[in-house]
Amino acid sequence: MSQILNVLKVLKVATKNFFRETFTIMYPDKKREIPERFRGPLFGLPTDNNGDLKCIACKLCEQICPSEIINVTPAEGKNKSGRTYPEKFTIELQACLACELCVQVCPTDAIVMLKVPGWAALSRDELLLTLEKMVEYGKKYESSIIAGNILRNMQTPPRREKVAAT
Amino acid sequence: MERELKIYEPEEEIILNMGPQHPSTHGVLRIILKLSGEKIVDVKPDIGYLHRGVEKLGETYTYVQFLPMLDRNDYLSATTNEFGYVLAVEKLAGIMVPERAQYIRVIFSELSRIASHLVWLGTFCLDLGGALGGGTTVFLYCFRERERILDIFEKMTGSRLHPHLMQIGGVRYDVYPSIDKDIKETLQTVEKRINEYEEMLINNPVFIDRTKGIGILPKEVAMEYGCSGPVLRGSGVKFDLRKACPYSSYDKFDFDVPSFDGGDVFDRFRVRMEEMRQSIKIIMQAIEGLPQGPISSQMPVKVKVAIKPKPGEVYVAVESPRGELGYYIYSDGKPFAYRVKIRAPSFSNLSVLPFLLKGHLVADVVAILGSIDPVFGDVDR
Amino acid sequence: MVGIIFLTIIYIFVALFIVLYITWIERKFAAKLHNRVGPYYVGRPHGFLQPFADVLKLLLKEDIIPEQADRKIFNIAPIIVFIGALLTFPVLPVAKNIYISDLSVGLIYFFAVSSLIVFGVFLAGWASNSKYALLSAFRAGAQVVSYEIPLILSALVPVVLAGSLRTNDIIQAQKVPFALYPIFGWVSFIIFVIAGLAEENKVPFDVPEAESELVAAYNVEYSGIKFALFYAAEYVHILALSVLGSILFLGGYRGFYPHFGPEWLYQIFWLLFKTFIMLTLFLLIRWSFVRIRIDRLINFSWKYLFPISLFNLFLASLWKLFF
Repeated sequence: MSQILNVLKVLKVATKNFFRETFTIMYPDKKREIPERFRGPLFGLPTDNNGDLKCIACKLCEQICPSEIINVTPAEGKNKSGRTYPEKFTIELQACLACELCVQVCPTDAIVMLKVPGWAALSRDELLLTLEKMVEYGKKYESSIIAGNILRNMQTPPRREKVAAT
Repeated sequence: MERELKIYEPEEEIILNMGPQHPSTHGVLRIILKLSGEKIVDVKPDIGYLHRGVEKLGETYTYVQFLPMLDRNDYLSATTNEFGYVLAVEKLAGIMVPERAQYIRVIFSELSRIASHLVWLGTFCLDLGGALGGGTTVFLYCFRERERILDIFEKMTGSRLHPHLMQIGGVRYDVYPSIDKDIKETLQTVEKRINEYEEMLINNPVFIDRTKGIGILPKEVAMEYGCSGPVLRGSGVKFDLRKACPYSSYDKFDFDVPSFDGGDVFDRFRVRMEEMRQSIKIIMQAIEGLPQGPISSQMPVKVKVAIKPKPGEVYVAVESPRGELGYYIYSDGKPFAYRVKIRAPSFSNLSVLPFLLKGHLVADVVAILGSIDPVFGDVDR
Repeated sequence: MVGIIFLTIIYIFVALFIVLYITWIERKFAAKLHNRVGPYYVGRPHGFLQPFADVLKLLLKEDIIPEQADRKIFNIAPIIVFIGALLTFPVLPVAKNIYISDLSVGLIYFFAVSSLIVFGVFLAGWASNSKYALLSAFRAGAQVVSYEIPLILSALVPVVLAGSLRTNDIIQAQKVPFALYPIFGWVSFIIFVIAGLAEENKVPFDVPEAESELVAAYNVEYSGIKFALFYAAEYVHILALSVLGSILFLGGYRGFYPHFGPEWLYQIFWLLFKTFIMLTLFLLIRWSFVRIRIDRLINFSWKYLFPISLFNLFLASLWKLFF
């Protein structure tokens, strides 16, 4: 008898859930809100007001990438804004971990992650991001709020306390 | 003359190869079962299908680069993996961590513990089969709640499963402004729902029938095999690294370590349910008392060789949702470790499987395996 | 003769149509229970064309036969199962004068034919040459042997009370619609539902299917149209059992209706309505439990259901004898 009562309790919880509102987001019709700090698989190379790349081809991102998928070739000479610039900049997305280390080390906020959660490629060529593609994507899609300087400012310990501590 | 009693001994046994492609081996475990009818005579687990050489990678990657890799180890509770590693490196290099960073670490590793246990509850019930109180119903309910926790992860770090939240000397991200409201709301719902699921399951006679008295693991055997975490606590040993040797700032929070004496599947279930409540308690305290201050004691990472600990060796263990997750690091003064050894809780817990399975039926395999809760990224590394 | 052939075709089409929509209703019901949406995009609103899309998909899928399988038996098993399920319908009247065959041993025919299903299941399990399929065939055999007896014993109670094996007679014998047998009628109704679930391999008793232990059981090696046949047979059998349940216990096509218009229309309505009640009952139980372990399952049948149903039948016979 007590077992039947227990089963009724189970059914009570089930009924309670039966009348809860639907949790599903009807995907293609309605899209999920993407958070500000989104860390996606797609990269963009932003340009400054003159239309020149922010990237100065310092190769810091190439160095820190755990999967070694970033390849930067600096160009000879300088661009209109008087900075060094990359001639080639490729990212092979097959092995990208989306760890954001490249964004974190960039001194000029020149590489950002884009708010594109459902990005997919149909061929391997598309997975190889070239300089032109990344500039285009950077213009086309909204970028994540996290960029090198913002992240580093967040992390930097205040100098005064450090002096007080030592 | 005494009549000889002839006991029927089945001569033919079949060998059933369960896995590595099997819906309820939680990944890629292969269990070779020797069956007589439906009864298990002999068990041979076979692992290694998800081996990715993470320990070896730790010798070639620098300390900074290795962190995002560790997220992929125990992918259900990524932050606890990072937690153990950063603690080990900090101990090795003698780096202090600001209190705010410690609190953020605790909050997020406890959140990932809840998320991990929710996945466990869902998949465990899915393994038991059926519908309510098992089966797809509880599975989907649990994932519904886990989704909300992952949303917090996403808002905080931008990534749902592989947060890469920690760095040596602190955390990489400061909390976002409305985090306390988000966490409190989410956890209140989660606590209510957990109570609901528990009511649903422990009142379900069939669930009790499937779990009580199945796969009994005596205290001594559990200790001999080096089990830890909920598996050990389900056998009546009250041992939790967060209490036994408090790391980070766990000594500042008030929480209990649940343990039950039965040692069966049902008790492991109860331990995990209770642990989720305790985690909620810890997070609530941490979010209330979140101190102000810097989130990192080190200057932000700019190059991969940023951390260079002195030569030496260190072993640091943290309590992951599965048990004692230990990192042994041997450093020879270079920016990368000479040797990294990961003591994976799932591996030690899984080693007790042949002991548990013998004499049970095929249907119990999934229940017992589910109650151990191995994650194969963790077992094979 | 032509009429009967015509009626048979209508029977098959209507049964298959209802089966298609049972799957849809079941999915929608489960989705609501899980706070999901369920089928939605195929045929808005609420994916009412989804069953057809499923059938089309299964028809177009590649038909895979394992290399080591016993090809002939492997191919014939789903057909046996499907035909076994469909053959149960002729003895089920939908209205007073609408039936394919009014056999005097209707119930015996029903159970004899539905036993073909487990025969097919066993053949499928054997022919697949897979250990999972074989184990599940063992389980299916053990389960059906244990649950067929309570099912038939519980179905015998109305037979004893009505004094006939003819389905029409049983319906006529129920004076008031909605089964007003004495108490043992209700007991046997409950046993009928439980044993019926076990017969269909439905959730609390789905040990032969046990997707988490035996992957997907006897149909693990089947794909495409053959899998569809198994799937359809399962649901056709549910439908047949629901109709039988409503005939035996709920008064079949009898019900209240006004005295104008064609009588058979009301009768069909009542039968469908009662069948729907039975189906909902099956669905509710299906979504309410964990899978029982095979040994407990068989214990439950032999130690509880079998003695209770036997005693119940004994009481019913006594009652029939003295009142």
